[in-house]
Amino acid sequence: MDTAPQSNSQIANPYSSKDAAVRAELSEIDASIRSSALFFTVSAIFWLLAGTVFALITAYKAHEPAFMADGAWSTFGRMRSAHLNAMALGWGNNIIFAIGLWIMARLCRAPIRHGGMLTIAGIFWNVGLTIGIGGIIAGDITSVEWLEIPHYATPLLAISYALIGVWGIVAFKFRKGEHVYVSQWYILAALFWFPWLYVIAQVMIIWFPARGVVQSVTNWWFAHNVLGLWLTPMALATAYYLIPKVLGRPIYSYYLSVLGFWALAIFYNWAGVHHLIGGPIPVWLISAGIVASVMMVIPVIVVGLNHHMSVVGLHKEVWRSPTLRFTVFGAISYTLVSLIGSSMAVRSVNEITHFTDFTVGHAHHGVYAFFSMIMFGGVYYMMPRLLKREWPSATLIKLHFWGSAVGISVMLFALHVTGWIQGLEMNNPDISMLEVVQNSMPWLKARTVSGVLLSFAHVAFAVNFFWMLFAAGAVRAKQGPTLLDSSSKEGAA
Amino acid sequence: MSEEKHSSGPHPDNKASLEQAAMQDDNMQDVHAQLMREKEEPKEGFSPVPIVLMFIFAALCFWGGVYLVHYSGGFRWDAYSPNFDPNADKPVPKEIPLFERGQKVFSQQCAVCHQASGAGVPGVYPPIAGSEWVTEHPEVLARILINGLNGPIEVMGNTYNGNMPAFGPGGLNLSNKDLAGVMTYIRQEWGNAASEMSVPMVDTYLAAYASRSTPWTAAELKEGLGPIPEPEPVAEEATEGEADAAQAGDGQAEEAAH
Repeated sequence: MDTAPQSNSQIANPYSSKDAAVRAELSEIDASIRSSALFFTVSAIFWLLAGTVFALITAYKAHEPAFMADGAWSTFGRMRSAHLNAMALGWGNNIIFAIGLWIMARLCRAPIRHGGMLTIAGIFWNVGLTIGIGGIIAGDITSVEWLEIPHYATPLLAISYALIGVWGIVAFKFRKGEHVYVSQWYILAALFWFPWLYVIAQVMIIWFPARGVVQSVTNWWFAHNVLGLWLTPMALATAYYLIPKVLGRPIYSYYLSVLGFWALAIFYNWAGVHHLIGGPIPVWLISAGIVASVMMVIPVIVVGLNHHMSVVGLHKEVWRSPTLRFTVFGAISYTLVSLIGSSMAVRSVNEITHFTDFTVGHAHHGVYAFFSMIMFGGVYYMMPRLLKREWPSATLIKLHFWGSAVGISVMLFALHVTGWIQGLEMNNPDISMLEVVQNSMPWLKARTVSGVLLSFAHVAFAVNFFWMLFAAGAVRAKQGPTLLDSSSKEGAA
Repeated sequence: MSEEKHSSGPHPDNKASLEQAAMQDDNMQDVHAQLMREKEEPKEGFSPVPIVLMFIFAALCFWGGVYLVHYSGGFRWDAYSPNFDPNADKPVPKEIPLFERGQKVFSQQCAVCHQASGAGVPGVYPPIAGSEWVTEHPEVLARILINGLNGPIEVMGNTYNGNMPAFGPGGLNLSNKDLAGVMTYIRQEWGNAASEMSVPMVDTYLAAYASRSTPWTAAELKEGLGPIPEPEPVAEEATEGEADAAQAGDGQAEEAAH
């Protein structure tokens, strides 16, 4: 980069600061990925809303089984699986494609060339997913958890994923600069991990089924790793990017970043087998899974410490920034959900939590309170840069935050408590199953209430988003960034 | 980032601003506002990893290793229970009967003098076959073997004046099993038909006499004998631990005596 030597007085002027050339480059990169990132974000929000509807139906059915029970398409099993796939592959993957590729392109300083191809691949992904979820609702659902999408849709998903993921790898290949930032490690690794997981699981379970319990082992290897080696690294990469970006402060320690990344890469892959504790598979495999799950404490402490030390002392700025309010909520949740997850893998705890709503709560803790909250933060940061507009309404952002934060907290509390009670009661032979179910009713109703809160949050998010997208002149950038604290106009972004 | 920065205008050195020179300053600032207020691309600090974390991680790794050793079922494909003991189905080495063990010990330790036939050497080594010292009270025999025998002794009508070495802890230090074996053997071979001497019996005598340093005389042997213990129905295996405990007990007794 040919930056002319700058005097001190000139650095104060943002238009001539020494990273002016970098800023010009970033602007170019943002322009190169704008249309495809917008497409993915819009798709993600549609899937988020669809998934929310499926979720509400499922949650309500859990305590009112007669609700929508007349058609086979709306039975609990199909609605639940439609919810899971809409959220994981619809909301999750689309928002990863938007934010992950955008961060990757920016950090590599490599514009996305022929971005139109990326958008077309994205269209195929969403068509494949629509066929898949339509197939689930129509009754072609497979019986394998996390892989419910029928076999006629999965090849399209696999191929379109490959056509999308390759863009991140190409961007990395043409990167500028010596240093590879921690977010790039996570994104690059995850771009390879996900197709490996998905294709192996499809081949060994659906296309050419392996014999016997090998299927179960593959199933939980896949299902757990989708969370830990796809959603987790992408969310961590986003947090690692957003925290220093918004606060203008470096990440605390490169060494912690290295340790956290490699510990995740080494241990997580083993952890999924703890779902099969007590199952008829060789006990060493389960014990190895338990050890790996507990060893996950290492990357979790390391990443948590790294994030915390990068943020510490700047809590006002965090609270004021829409981006960081969500991101830091997600980062804190990561520490909590992972430590709970490690303890759930221990045999004596698993005896209680297995086969209960505790696991359901844990899944939402990870995918929503951690992953989705950080991705919301990513959207709040990315969109103004892509659209060169500001968020129209701080009130809607606050509604979104409080709806999500309170909603997910209520849900987690309800599901964890009822799950623990269910586990204790099911282990007691004196208590009949019907009693166990009846005792969970109030908690399941609380879960539905939390779902309503989350729905409000998502609607607020969507309204704000489309308002920003379609009302071009509504909010001009000159009015300054949309912050969440009225006294903050002269503060940082 | 403050609002004032937007009012300072583009710098002529800035390439991007030159390219769009036709634009009004206001519009341009508008378009680039987000970019201009953006902080620098992220960097990493190099704070060291807290040393206490390394201790925690080392402890976790240690725990993981121990857990795998205990609950991995020997890494066998057919082990399904966390409490599976990979050594459980290995054949337990068969315990040699005391009599057979004693036969071997006798041929190695005793047959040189007392002869394989148990008849001894007339005038030098007393016979064992048919000897009343061997077949009567087990404690007498145990005393001779543990501490040895010195001086004249009358056996089956003949007097011998020799020196029998000690085989207990103060002498050749045979194990309790070997002692029990060899005593059982000589009490039941060559037409002798006395009771077996079990390992617990030998342990009892070892506990009583291991600390004695002098060999017995024929006269002493008959004094202070305890009752003949009832032979136990099944010979129990005495573990090494018990033998050790017995010896430790001796040590304490000795100290108390001092």
